[in-house]
Parts: sequence; C-alpha cells; structure tokens
Amino acid sequence: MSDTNHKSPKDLKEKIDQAKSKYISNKKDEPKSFGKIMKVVVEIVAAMAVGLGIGILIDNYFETRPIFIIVFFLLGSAAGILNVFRVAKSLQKN
Amino acid sequence: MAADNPIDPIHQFEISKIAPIQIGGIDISFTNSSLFMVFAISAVFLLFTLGLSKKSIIPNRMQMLSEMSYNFIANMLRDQVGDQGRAYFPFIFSLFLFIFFCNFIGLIPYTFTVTSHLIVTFAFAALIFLAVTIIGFVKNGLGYLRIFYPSGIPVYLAPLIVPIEIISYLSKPISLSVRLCANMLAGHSILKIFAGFTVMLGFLGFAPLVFLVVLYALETLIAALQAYIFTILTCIYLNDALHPDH
Repeated sequence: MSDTNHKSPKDLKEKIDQAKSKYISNKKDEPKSFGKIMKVVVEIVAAMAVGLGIGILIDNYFETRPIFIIVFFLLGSAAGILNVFRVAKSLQKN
Repeated sequence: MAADNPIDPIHQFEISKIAPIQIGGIDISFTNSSLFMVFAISAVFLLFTLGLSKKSIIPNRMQMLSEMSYNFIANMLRDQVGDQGRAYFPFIFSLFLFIFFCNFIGLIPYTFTVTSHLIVTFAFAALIFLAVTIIGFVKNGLGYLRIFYPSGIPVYLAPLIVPIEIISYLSKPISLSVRLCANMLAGHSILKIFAGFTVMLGFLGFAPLVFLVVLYALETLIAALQAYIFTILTCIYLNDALHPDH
C-alpha cells in the first residue's frame, strides 16, 4: 500500500464516498427503470378506460350518446396525464 | 386450434374444476386457481413455522429469510406511511407474501399462476380501494373530499379539475390490478412461446433456448418487482388516505 495519492484521511473518505455513491446509484437504476415504464403506460390507459366507462354509463342512462362519452373520454385522458405527471414527480423525489 | 397444435401458450391460463361445488346456483367450485392459492398460503406458512421454530440469536437461513422479509415490509411501511401505518402492517405483510409466492410458484413449470387472472388481482385492488376510501373518511371525516379539490386552484377551474381528480382517483384500482395481471400474463405467454420455438426448431432450438434462460431470469425479477410495486402502491394509497393534505 505505497499509494501516496491521498494525502490525508479526509481525501480518502471523499474517495470512498464517491465510489459508494456511484455503486449505489448504478445498482438502483437498472431494475427500477423497467417498473417505471410499465407503471406510466398502465396509468394512462386505466384513466382513459375509467373516463370512457363513466361516459358510456351516463349516455346510456340519459340516452344522449355520444356527448358524454366524448366529454368524459377527454377528461379521462387529462386524468391519465395528471397521473403520469404525479408518478414522474414521485420518481424524481426518490 | 389447441387440439391440432400441441404447443399452446394460452393453455397454462385455463381454469379447470377439481371439485365442483354448487351452492344456491352459485358456482364456487374448487379450481386449480384455488389449489395454487392454497399452495401459496402453505408456502408462507411453512416459511414462517420453519423459520421461527428455533428462535436462535445467530439465525439459520430460514430464520434469516423470514426476519428479512418482515423487516423489508416494516421499513417500507414506515418510510411510506409513518407511524400511523403500523396498524395496517399485518394486512400489508400478508398481501405482499401472498402475491410474492403466487408469482413465484407460477414460475415453476406445469403450475398455474393465480395472479395472471385479472379477476384475482382486481378483487385485491378493489378491496384495497374500498378499504382505503373508508379509512380516509373515518380518519378525516368529510374533509377527505378535499383530495378532489387541491388547494390553490381558482374556483372557476373547479368544474374541470374536480371530475379529472375523481377519474384519477377511480383509475387507481384499475391500474393497480391491470399492471400485476398484464405483467404476469405477458411474461408467462412469452416464456411458453419461446419454449415452443425451442421444440419446433429441433437442433437449431438452442438459439431460443438461450433467450429462454435470459427471459426466465427477467421473469424472476418481474415476479419479485411486481409484488413489491403492488405493495408499495398500497402503502402510498394508504398514506394518501391518512394524510390527505400532502
């Protein structure tokens, strides 16, 4: 151990911390990214489906097809984007 | 179709009755799905009875495994929900273990994957959704309705925002259940399709076989990951119900 690159214990500690953070961030990145993508896709589709479902129910009840289907499908799409936005925000925090 | 072709990737998802039971016109037969649910519960039971039969200070492998799973979920619940979440720990822990073992038992050839059926996962998600909604109203009273109207939004935008928030809230159980089911269904179908290639190609079958090994590793990861995601999302929904302000 004749390495003279690090003059004080502080330097060494910094190096260890750097190496550690690299290792930890690399390890965390891989398996989660797959889950992230799956999460986002399902989130959009589910909100659209709920919007469409509500639209169809209301239209069948009041016999006003297709007004509410259109309105609620658009609202559902907006909710899907809102969901994705929230997921992205929560992922950014971690 | 299935009769002429021995390689049928969908066959593994078929439900067959083992013991037909009918009560009052309702079919509650004991199916292969029920059988594998029993297997999953037995596996959980076995893990904990074997693991905790000898409570030694220096744990053996089974004890390590059961204690690690306990700590894992306990830490997750504390991180996501805080101290108030402790009351719901038994439910969250059972949920995680059941889904985890169902996913993993499904990876063994010739078994049935319980979580690949949407009705199973949707039953879980709907139950969680109802429970979380009830908990929200019990803990916060009618103030829980504020989650549909975030603070800082002008009144004239409310007619637009409130329906969007309600749809977003209602989409939670659907996204929760579809995610788990779709992952299991797609993964197991792909495994079967690649296995079919291996059989059909004969000598050249080693190429898809390599893929199959890699895919199988990926499926193992997904089985654990999806159980984890299902549980952590349950914790997040629970947190929203207990602390609706943020």
